Formats: sequence, structure tokens, C-alpha cells
Amino acid sequence: MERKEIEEKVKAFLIEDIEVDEDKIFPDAKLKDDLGIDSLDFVDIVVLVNNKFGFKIKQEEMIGVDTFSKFCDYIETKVK
Amino acid sequence: MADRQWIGTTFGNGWMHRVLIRVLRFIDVRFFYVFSDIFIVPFCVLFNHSGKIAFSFYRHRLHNNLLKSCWLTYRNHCLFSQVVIDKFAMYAGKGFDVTISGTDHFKRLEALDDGFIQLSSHIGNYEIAGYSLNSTKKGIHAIVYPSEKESVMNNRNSMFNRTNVSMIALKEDMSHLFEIDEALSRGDVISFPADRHVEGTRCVTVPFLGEDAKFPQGPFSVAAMHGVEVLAVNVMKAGLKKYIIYLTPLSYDTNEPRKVQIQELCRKYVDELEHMIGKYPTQWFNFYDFWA
Repeated sequence: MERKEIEEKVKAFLIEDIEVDEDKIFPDAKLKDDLGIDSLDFVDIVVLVNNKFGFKIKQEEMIGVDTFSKFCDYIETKVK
Repeated sequence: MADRQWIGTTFGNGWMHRVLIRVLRFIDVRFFYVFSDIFIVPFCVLFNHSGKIAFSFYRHRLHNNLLKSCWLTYRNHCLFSQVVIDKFAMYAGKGFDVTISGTDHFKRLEALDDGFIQLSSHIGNYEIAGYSLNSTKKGIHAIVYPSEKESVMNNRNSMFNRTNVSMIALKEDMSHLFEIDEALSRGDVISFPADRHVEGTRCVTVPFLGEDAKFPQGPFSVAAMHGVEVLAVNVMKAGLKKYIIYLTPLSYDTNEPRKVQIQELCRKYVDELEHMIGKYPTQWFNFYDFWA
């Protein structure tokens, strides 16, 4: 899966399922502070990533993943 | 906005809690009820912010006349002190007569491979459910606020050690989200408080007692995302030493878009909440402006 496709998919579920404003999504946007993703939204994101990318997010792998770009990087390394 | 804030912790410090628990081992709860009703509650009703909030709830939200609103405010505070005393009495090893209304719903969900979600509110004495509503087939995980006093958490832990109930504290490091996901994947039960919306988190707005109110979206969203069944659990004080646990299944159409599912679930939960408040008006214990 190409990087561009990953970004589009992540952006799509953030807008559609987590109700993040499209204009707030940019590479360095902080997941919590800029995109307003709260703690229970992350429970949804674990399920969404599993459904759309076919793997389960692990807690220890999410350390330091705090921006949209880093989140896409993480998914990219997992789907490759 | 200050009115909308709540502390999420039990009054008193660890020393006070330990003394209260020791004394409750030897003295009947009714002594504390009477002491509180005479010497503490009137003071709280007159001088504490909670009195004003409760009065407004009974006068303007439930549309009672002036005298009845005053009486209900007093009774509300008496009941609140009683459920707190009962909580510590349970820590002290005292028993209560607990009956469950709707056991069949719990047994049906317990028999399924899938997990399910229990939703509760700050009405009655939900903590009693943790010690009385047990499953031999599934683990039950209660979501709790990390701000609660250490002494209360220690006592809860020691009570829960006798059951298959455990606590998941909401933490900054997000570890709770993995615990929630793993528990539901295992087919366990997650118990959420579903009435207190925190500023900065997503909410669902639904009519509640005649006016729009905000409820936290998280618990309903997690249910809809996992497609699991939902049970409203309300534990109401029905006598001096008697509690009734009301279990009500909340159905929703899993074929609808997720936003519609969340709205439907929340609306049905609020319907159940209104039903309970109608039945037990003095056991509403959200002492802040819920509709702000």
C-alpha cells in the first residue's frame, strides 16, 4: 500500500468516523491537541485500523506516535 | 463553566475513611444516617453549592413547588450521605439486601461469546453493583476516574478481589484503551459511567428532562464500534438496608450508520435514566449544572 493511499484512508476514517474537521488535518497535527481525539476515540481507532489495514495496534508500538504524520508512518511500517 | 465541573472523588481524606470504616464495623449504619440527617445535611443544604444545584433541579427541572423542592433537596442530600455511608459500611464488611431486577438479561448476555457494555450514572449507589452483580463466565472491568482517593481505591480493590471485577483507570498514557479493546475482544464486560461529559471530549446532545443535555460520546461509540450489546445498570436504594439493581437492555440497529447508532443508544439510555429519576427522584447525585 502506497503512503498516499494510507494517508487518504486514515484521513477518511478520521473525518467520517471520529468526526475530525478536514481542515484541521495536516502532517504535524497533534492527535490529541489539534485533532481533538479523546481517550475513548482511540478505542475506536484501534478497531478502525484493524478493519481497514488488517492489524491490531499494540500499546508499546504507539509510544511517541502523537501526530497525524507519525501515525501514518506507523501504519506504513506495519502494512509493508 | 465552573458549575459544570465535578471532582470525581469521594469527600474526606484517607485517615477519615479508615476511621469511618473501623467505627462502622461496630456501629449500625442507622446511627450515622441519623447523625448525618440532623447535623451535616442541613448545613450542606444551606451553605454548600450542592444545595443550590439540587434545589434548582427539583424546582425547575422536575417542576415541583417551592416547599416540595426544599423537602426533596433535603432528602436528596440525606440519601446521598446514606449511600456514601453504605459504601464505607460495605468496606467494613456490612451486608445489604440486594435484589436484581432483570437477571435474565444479564444471564443471556453472559452466555454469549461476545462481550457487552454496562452503562451507569451517578444515581443511586452504582458501586454496590460491583460487589453484587458478578459473572462466573466473564470478567467485568469497571472504568474509573484516576482522581479518586487512594484509600477508596484500595478498599474497592480489596472488595473486588473477592469477585471477578477489576478496574481500568483512565490514564494519560492511553493504556486503558488497549485494556478496553482487549477485554471486549476476549468477550468480557466493560462498565462505563455514561452521564458525565468532560469539556474537550466528544459528546452526544439529547433531550433530557425537557432540555438538551450533553452526554459523553465515548461509551456509546465504543459499543457501536464493537457492535456489542448494551445494558443499563442502575442500583437504587429502596430501603434502609435494601438496594435494587435494575438491568435494562438497550437495543440499537447495528445496520444504521454509526452516528445514528450512537444517537439511538444515547437516547434510549437517557429514556431509562428519566424513568429511574421518575421512580427515585431523590437519588440524582450530579451536583453541578448538568444542562450548562
